[in-house]
Order: sequence, then structure tokens, then C-alpha cells
Amino acid sequence: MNYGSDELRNLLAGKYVLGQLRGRARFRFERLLLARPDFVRAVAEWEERLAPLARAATPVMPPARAWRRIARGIRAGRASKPALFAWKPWAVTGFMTAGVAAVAFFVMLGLYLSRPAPVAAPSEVAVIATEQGAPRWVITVRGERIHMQAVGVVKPPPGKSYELWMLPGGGAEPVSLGLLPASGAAGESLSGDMLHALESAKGLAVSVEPAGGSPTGLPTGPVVYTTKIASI
Amino acid sequence: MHQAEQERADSELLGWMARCARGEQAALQSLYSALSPQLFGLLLRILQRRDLAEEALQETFVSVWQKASEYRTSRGRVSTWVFAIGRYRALDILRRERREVNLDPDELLAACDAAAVAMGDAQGAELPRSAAEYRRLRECLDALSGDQRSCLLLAYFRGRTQEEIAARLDAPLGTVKSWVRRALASLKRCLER
Repeated sequence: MNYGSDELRNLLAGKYVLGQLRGRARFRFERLLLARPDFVRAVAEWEERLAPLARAATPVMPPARAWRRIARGIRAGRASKPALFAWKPWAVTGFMTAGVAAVAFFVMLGLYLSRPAPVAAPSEVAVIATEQGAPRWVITVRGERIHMQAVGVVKPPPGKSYELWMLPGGGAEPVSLGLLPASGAAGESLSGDMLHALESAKGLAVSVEPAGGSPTGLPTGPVVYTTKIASI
Repeated sequence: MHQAEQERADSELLGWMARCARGEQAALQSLYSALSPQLFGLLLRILQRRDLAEEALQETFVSVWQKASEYRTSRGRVSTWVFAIGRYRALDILRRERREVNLDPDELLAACDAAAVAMGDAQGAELPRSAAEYRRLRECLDALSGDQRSCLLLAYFRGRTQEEIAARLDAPLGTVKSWVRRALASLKRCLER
């Protein structure tokens, strides 16, 4: 596609602001936002064009507790800056002994987007990529569902599956988030506890498991990819 | 509010953003005092439940705090940026809760109209910038076909996907896609006139 045309840029930016870009189209657009200031500007222009609709609301004074909670929220946020490599040893040793050249590569989508998550947008995003930066899967959490989208085809070794794990903080055991699709998308519902744990999770890891998933509920094979989670 | 006053207000918001980026909590509180009543009104319109609107409001300002250093004026006015964060949070919550909310585009627009009239009335003879901007956008929305306008409003205030809009308006997906495309093109053209 020729992304140079003004018309196309404005159309895509408008659809983005209206939450009408989904899946791969959305991912492609978000990648453009990283590289192209003109796209960032086009998105900002659409926000501004439609903002009078957002401003046309009757003001309502929120209760005083709302501010108290915000103040508490920002203090809590300051205290917890997770260290990516402070995991349990299994993660690092498994990762090393596998001899797989997969260094943690993470893309903090939330940091480079010019604006917050759009309509029904994921609240958490992680991109699992090779050391060279080629994306393998895009993991998003929307509402109570985790969504795993393969980028192209990611074939596991014969007789094996790739399994996704959440690495909770505080030395807790990894928790399975399900099997990653070799192509296309897969999704699963998460329990409230899992969602809660995911919010404070230190990262995600992908291990190679027997087909169908780990028999023990913990990673048994080598960890081939790791990534951080970005909250948007 | 006069234009000059409005500009003063914008530059004040900008100062608070810069101080938020430096980690001054008092600046966030100033931003909150200035923007929260109107934002809360918007969140209530989207979510139609007070507890959820409060949740969205809290998350919005925590998010503003965390992202303050990423804000640039090239990304729009401060209030637009904050309102956008708030709107997206509210739409996320709406989707998460799978709530039945009013999906009548005409009623959504009527609610905006009523609020805009109140904005104008509150300011006496001089039309405030927000009311003037609303009137201009409203004229351009009027120039769209009813279906195009519905697509826009259902996406903007209700976070509906093209598939959901197609179901709601009982139209083929391809038609909805072309309505959205044309609505965006005409709106942009009209607002630039």
C-alpha cells in the first residue's frame, strides 16, 4: 500500500481514532505511528476534530473519594518498578541451557503510541519477537480475554507445542496462559485472579513443551522467548 | 469564555502537564480540578453508571500521570489528550462489562446538543470556544447522511466495531465500511472549509 498519500493517511488515522482498525491492520498502523510523525499528527488531528463531541457533556462533580484513590494510585505506581531479570533461576538457566539465541526483546507499545488505547483496545500488550526483532506473536489482553496472534507461521519443533507463561512477581511459579497458535489467532478467558496477577506480572515467557502443553503445569522444556508486558 | 481567556487556560494546562512530567503531584491535582467535572460528565454518558464512570475517571488520571512525559503539543491540546484517554478507558470498561446501553445515535447527538446549549448559556453573550467548535462540528455532521452519522456516533461513544454497527443498522459490512470512509472524508473536508 502506498502510505504516502494524504488521503490514505487521513482515512487510516480517522478509522484508528474511531476504533475501526482491528487485528493486523491495527498492528500495521501502530507500527507506522512509530516511524512516521505525519501519522502521529494525522491521529492527533482526528482527535481534535472530534473532541467537541467529547467536550459537549454536562459537567458533573465527581465524589471526593475519586481524587483520594488517584493520589493513592500514583503513589503505589512509584513504588513498584519491576526488574526484568529478577526471576526465579529456572527461567534464566532454562533460557541459557537451551542455547537458543533468544534474548528478551520487548516492544513497549504503550510507550510509543501517541495516544491511549483506542476503542476496546487492549489494556496490556506484549510482542514476542526474535533477537533480531522479528515479531512472532502479539499478545493482547482485552477485558477478560487473552488474545494470542501469530505473526505469519511459527512452527514448533515436531511433536512439540509452544506454551505461553506469565511470570508473576515475588518469586511465584510461572502460570500457564495457554498454547500459542502456530498461525492465526487463539484466545482464552482469564479468571479474575489471573487478570490481577497479570497486572503485576514481571513478564511473559514461551517454552517448548510436548504437544498439547506441559504435563506438569510448569515449564518443562527450554524457554525460547521472554518479553515484558506493557500496560496501555 | 473569550478567546484570550481560553488560550490562557490552555497554557495553564500545559504548565501543569510539564510539572506532572517532573513528578509534581500537586500539578496533577490542578489538572484534575480543571478537567474532572467535564470528563466525568462524558464518562457518565458513555458508561451510564456512576461506579464505572468513577473507575474510568481514576484510571484516566493515573494514566495521565504515568504518560505525562510523553505528551507533546503536536499530539493536540492537553484537554483533548486527557479526554481521549478517558474516552478510551470508558469504552474498554463498557466492552468488559458487556452492558446494554442506549444505542440510538439520534439520542446520543441530542444529549450533546443539550450540553452544548448549556455551555453557551452559561457564558452569556460571547459564545465560548467549546460551544462554537461544537456548533461547527455539528453543522458538518448534519451534512453527512443519517447512516454515515450513525456509524460515527456509535463508534465514538459506544466503541462499536464495523461488524457490530452493520448488525445494528442492518446493513452489509461492506456498506458500513464505505459509510465510515465517506463520513471521515466529508467531515474533514467540511471542517477545513
